Amino acid sequence: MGNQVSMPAARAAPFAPNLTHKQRVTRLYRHALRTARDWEPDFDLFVKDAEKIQARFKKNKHLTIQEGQRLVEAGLKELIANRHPEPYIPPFAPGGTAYQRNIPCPPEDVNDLLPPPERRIR
Amino acid sequence: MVVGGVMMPIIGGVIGLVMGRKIGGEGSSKLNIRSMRVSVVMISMELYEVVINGVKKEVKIWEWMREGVERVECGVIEEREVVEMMWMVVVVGSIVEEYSRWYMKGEGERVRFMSIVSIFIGSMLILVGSENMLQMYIGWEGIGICSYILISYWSSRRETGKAGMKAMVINRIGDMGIMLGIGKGYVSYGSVSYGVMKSVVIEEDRIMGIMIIMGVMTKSSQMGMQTWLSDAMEGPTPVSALIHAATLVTAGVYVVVRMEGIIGGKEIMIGIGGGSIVYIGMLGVYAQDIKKIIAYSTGSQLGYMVLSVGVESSNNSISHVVNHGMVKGMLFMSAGGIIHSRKEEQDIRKMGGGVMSVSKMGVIIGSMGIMGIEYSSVYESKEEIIRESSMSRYGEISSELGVCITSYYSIRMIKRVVVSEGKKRKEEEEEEGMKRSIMWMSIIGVVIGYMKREWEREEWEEEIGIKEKGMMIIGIVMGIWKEKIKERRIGRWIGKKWYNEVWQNRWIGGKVEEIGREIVEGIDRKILEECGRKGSREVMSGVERVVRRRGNVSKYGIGMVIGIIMWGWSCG
Repeated sequence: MGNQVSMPAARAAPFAPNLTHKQRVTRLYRHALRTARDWEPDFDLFVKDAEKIQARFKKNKHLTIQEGQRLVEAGLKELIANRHPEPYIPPFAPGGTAYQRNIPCPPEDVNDLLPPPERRIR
Repeated sequence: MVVGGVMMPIIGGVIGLVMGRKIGGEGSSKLNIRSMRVSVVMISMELYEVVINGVKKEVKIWEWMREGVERVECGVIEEREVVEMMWMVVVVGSIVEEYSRWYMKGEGERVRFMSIVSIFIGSMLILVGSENMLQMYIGWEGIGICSYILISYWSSRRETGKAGMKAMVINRIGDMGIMLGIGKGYVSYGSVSYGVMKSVVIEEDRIMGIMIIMGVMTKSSQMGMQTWLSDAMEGPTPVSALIHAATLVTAGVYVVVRMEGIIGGKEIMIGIGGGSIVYIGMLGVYAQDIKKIIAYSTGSQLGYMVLSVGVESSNNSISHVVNHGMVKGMLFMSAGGIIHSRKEEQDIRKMGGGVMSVSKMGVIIGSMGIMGIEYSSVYESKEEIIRESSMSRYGEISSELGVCITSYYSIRMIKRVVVSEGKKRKEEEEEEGMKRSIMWMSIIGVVIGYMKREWEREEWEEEIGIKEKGMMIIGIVMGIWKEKIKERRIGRWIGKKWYNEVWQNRWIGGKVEEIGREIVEGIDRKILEECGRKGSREVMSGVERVVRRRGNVSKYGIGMVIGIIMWGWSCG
């Protein structure tokens, strides 16, 4: 359930508006790596995938801005198409399995601020 | 004796709740564990009487209601299947309570947790031991409400609240089916007692069957209705071990077994059971959360049980319920041990590595049991079901496919959790009590399987066994060789859980919401308000205006006196 309803905000970052081209490229790269990691739990095999992704980005680093923007759009489409149905979310991060489980009580200072009749007895 | 066994968990739970402030979390845990142990001893003695000595009796406590010649009596029926099932429920319940004592250490509201678990077990025993459908329905509702409370135990978390509500709402559909089924039974046979209905039945009632199957589909999370079971994994792991493996989900199957010979619709059961084996099993192939994988496995195994009832082999169904409950409870507890030791990490991609622990051994033994490897406890009952389902071509294909799928996700889970290197993270050792519980459960599971084993087989039975083993080997090889299914189309369908929730929300949830809105707008706001609150206010203010204009106090006094006299006269 958690994975479907509350995807962490960082996951949606590549699609946020008002980003510079550089920001879009770097975020696309980071999310491509994360998606590859979602699909490949073995680290040794993941490294090979990561090298391939890095090579694809490096190959196009000399292109003009216009060409680069077109490639970023294509990359976003590819990222969405290959997104893992259950991406990894750390347990205590928003959307994780243990998020908000035991929310701590308000700090005791707040209790001390209350007038005596409403103050919690310790 | 058996009545004491049924009532002890409830008594323990209620005392725990009432005295909770005084005895605290630890005291409540000890109280509930002891009451469960007493219950285990009592029901074990009854099991000896019924299974070994072959005694068959019915204990009546009181007459609940009487309608003509029909009497509804509360009590416990003692038949082989009933007592076996009760024994499984109390044994798993007792071990899970012991496990919870250690697992829930450090969590808040332990008094509530332990007591509700006990009350849940008591409700389940009421359901299992009942001789009539009305008493069964009390237990049915009892387990429903306790399951809601336990799923949403971490009430500060939004997802748990949603999961609890989802379980409740989906199960309501089935509850309605069961209620209608009870009514239909009473109208058709003039009784709600299983025994009386079986004695007067001439032809199996198909309509009643469809109503009861509605209940089975939701409670036992069959094809299309399984969404609540995976979401219910939001609850603590002991809850998953007890409720979503051994007891609550098996209630639907148990009820339909009890009503064998009364209700019709066997072909629907074959369709649903066979479909669920493959449909829900495939979801386990893609799941990454260890608890969800086990939950989908439960749904798939429940499909075997429903299929077994469909092919008129209820004994095997109950046998599979008992064996599966033991093994699946142990599997969940082992998963809980691993989650605990890895600081709440549930994703199998981040597991693996570290030293071999009792929990990991539990995962291996449990997974092999679920796969149906020979000499495991589930093997015997599962093979019996596959053998019986070979009478129907559809049943045979789906059950054989189910073996392959089960092997695939079980091997995948073992590989990720135990074999793979994983992320190097320091694992904490499990608590002694948790280790003890897992070991007890695995010993009981294996011993029961061994005791129930049939050593001699016929030739045609051997043939089906070979086919099953072949499918299992295919599943194992695929699980080792091709663990990640990345193919676009099938991956998207299964990864999105067959788009089950999407169509449910769009076609059912959306429509119901639309109808509800129309009722609120059309009936509540327009008709009821115009005739009720708003209308009566306008009428009264109109009367008031007229009276005020004429203004005569003595006339009001006379009117009041006449009104009182008339009221007194009408009261008589």
